[in-house]
Amino acid sequence: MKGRPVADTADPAAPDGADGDPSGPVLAIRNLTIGYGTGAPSVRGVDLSVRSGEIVGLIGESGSGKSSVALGCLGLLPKAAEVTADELTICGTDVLAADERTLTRMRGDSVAMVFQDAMGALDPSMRIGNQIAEVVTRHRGVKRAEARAVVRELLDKVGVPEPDRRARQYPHQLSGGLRQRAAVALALAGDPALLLADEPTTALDVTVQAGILELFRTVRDEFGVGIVLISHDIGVIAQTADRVAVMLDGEIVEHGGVEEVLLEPKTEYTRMLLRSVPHLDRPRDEPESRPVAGKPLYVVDDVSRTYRSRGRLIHAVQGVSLDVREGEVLGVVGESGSGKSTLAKMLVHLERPDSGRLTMSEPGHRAGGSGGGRAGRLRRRVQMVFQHPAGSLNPRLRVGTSVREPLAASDTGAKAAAERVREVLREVGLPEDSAARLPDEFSGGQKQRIAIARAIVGDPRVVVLDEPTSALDVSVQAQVLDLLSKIQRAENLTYVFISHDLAVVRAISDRVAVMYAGRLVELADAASLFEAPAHWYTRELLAAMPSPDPRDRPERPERRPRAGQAESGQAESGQGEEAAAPAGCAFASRCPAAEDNCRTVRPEPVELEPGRVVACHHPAGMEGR
Amino acid sequence: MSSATQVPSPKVRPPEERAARRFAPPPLVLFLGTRLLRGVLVMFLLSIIAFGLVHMLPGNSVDLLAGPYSTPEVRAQLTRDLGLDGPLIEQYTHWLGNVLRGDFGISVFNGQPVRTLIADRLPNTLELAIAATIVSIAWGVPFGAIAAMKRGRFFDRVARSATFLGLATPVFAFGVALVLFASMVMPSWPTLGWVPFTADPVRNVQALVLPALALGLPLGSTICRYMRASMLEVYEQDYMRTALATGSTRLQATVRHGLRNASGPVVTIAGLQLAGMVGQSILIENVFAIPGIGQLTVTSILQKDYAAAQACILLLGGVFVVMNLVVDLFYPLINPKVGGLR
Repeated sequence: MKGRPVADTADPAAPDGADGDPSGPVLAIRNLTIGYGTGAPSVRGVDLSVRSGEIVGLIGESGSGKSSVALGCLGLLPKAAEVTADELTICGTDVLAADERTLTRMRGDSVAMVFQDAMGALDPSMRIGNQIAEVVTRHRGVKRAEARAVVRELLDKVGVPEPDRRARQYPHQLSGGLRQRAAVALALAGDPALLLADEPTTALDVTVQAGILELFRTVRDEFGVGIVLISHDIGVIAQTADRVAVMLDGEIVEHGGVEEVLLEPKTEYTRMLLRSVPHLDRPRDEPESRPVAGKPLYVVDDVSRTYRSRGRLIHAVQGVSLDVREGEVLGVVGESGSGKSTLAKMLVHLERPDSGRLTMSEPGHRAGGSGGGRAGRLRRRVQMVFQHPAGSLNPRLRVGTSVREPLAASDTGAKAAAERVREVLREVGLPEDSAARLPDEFSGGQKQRIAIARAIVGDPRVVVLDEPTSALDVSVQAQVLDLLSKIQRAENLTYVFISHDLAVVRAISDRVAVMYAGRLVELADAASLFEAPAHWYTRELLAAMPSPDPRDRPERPERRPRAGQAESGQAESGQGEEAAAPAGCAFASRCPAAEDNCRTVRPEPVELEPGRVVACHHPAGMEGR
Repeated sequence: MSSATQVPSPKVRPPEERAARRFAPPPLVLFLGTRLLRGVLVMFLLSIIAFGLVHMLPGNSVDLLAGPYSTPEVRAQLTRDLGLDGPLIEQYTHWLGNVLRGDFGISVFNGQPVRTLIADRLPNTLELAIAATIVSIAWGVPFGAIAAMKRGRFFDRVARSATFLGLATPVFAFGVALVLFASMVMPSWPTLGWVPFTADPVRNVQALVLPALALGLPLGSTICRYMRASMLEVYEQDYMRTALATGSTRLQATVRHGLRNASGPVVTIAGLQLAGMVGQSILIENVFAIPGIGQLTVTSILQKDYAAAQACILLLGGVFVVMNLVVDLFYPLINPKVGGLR
């Protein structure tokens, strides 16, 4: 495997197939079909070829068969799968004809895989270094003692800081980004020529994702590895892949160079996919001017919430103040652990704040230390939609029963309730007979529509939406976002829309609040926040969003994969337990503009200009004020 | 937020925080310390129950000792001699104090100290329990793991039928069946009767085989089932796929990454099972006529031998507590998250 020539990738639009390729592809697939039993095959007639030193993106929505292709390459599909192909070779090894011994040698040696969930992909009861060393000794024929040095070098190359210390740690002790880096090191341990990456950044925060994508580019260039990058996220593909294949229902409907496919798509499906992607520079489409400056409806005043987890204090939300205005969509963005979900739970009174008040500006709807009765009444005025529609619907209850549930709390008569349920189901675009069916009969997007129907059935004032579209495919997400906008206007609702996806927030919000480490760092109307972010964290978030336009790629040698350091720091501060900075700004350790006072004095949120609150000593773009 | 309440995160700790944490007990010590304390509390509650239960039984040892035709004077004298005349609470504290000093009292029936009675029988029961443990683990763990590896194949089906049989058959019935079977196949094998190890090691081991099998095989069936289910779950995990994708064979992946991750639930259930085995041994000791703690417990309760019965109950409960502690000791070895090993 050593000393393999790095193929030139000058022609990104190289035709698929092995024919006439001088360097020889590391992966060649012709007419691959994977079927289970008698049903329609889940992969049909797929052609794909990957050469050393190129990244081939495989885009597709859930169920399009992209993961099956990857597992088929490894020969790891379940036994029930029927695999046929005119050609399926990895570095010249015919995967279909090979016996188990050849396959075992090929795996790790010629081809390796990186999975979505690095926590699951690493053995939880084994130190990282030992796991990698196991593969190193197996494939490189070195002794254990020498393997140690190889492991160190590998971890260093994939951007894991302090490789010696990290090698002795268990997976749960690493942050998500470092874990994925360790998983990449594990995959590279056998020095493979082909790397299959199945949604490798989907579970990561956007700033961490940027670092991992950079890592894949480095792996391509420095190790000369051919990479198949499977993703549903067009931004990820656009920023990383050299060539792209689009999968739909088990078939590749379009393939070619990344700019060719994403800028001049030839098929209707690709065009639809690209249209569905929310863009950062594409604001909410407003038919008319709307009363954005409505009066405060729901006031959050200095709310804090602390959890105790195995003797440690987790400051999930600290001193957050904001007002939700009548008839607006307030977006809340932040990374995992920033406290946005805890805030959501407090807004609907599933959690009580340790301190601070939540006030609904209506007589009799005051909460914050209120008793169960008043909290119950408030809950009717504030409803919630959760991230996973399947988990939030009782699978044994008929849809109508689930949707009617909020009405049971009020004194709606049975007949009126049934009528209202039919009405909201119609409103969310579900067929008439849905009420009598079970949740299992619906797709993910339809289930989310049911959840939305349940949230609006009792005429709430405020609907809190916690990542309502992140479990959905991008085309479905676009439909659900449209629906939410439509309902909001029709019912004159107020939304609190929580998401880690800035583009989605941009697509629906009037104002946006940014949270970091349990604190509010910036709050402004959507246009000015996205066009001129004042807080450095907001700027970093925006910069890290992968653009769906491949022309926006960063200039290549700009950044080496040293980002690991920032990731590990972030894992801590992002959890809202930033004990490292007891007094200063939680973001100071990552902030490019941090000065001495940032580490000692915490910046309080101040209104820099009307309608714009920023918690920063040195806000960006505000020097002249 | 005051900095005093903040505890550093577990992942990367800058040096100054490490200093601040220096005097906190290590998580492992904390983990085991709380378990130990809990065990002591359980033993205390158990002592109350053991004492109360024995005294709540109908009839008492005075009636049994003095016989139906005794005079009230004799009975009163006996009651005083046996220390049964004060209020129950006083009797309890007196008993507990003696127990803490290692004095379990004197058996009213053969006049021997209870300690001696137990010391004579405990080795036999322990020997049986250890042998049965070895049998149950040797049968349960590998067969469960192999059944999971060969899921749905012939081996799996046989193992599952066998474990079902093992679970469904009562221990004593299984014991009797083993005795009958052995006496048919190998008439020369000593099926009943007990020879202490000190008297004749060879015949002791011979006598041990059948009861150990009778006790260990049914318990091993439970372990086998848990092992199989746990392994099947582990096979679904991504890290097993990762191992295969980096060129492990199925066997290598099972041995290196599967067994340890699968053993968590198995250790829990095995610990409870093995503790329960002491109770089961009451039946087996009767079937195979082994002079052990089980026999002593039964006879002392039947004879209203307060001191002996209380000591036996306390001992059986103590075995449970100790087994649970042993299981807790295993957890940090299996799962690095428990006890915060870092």
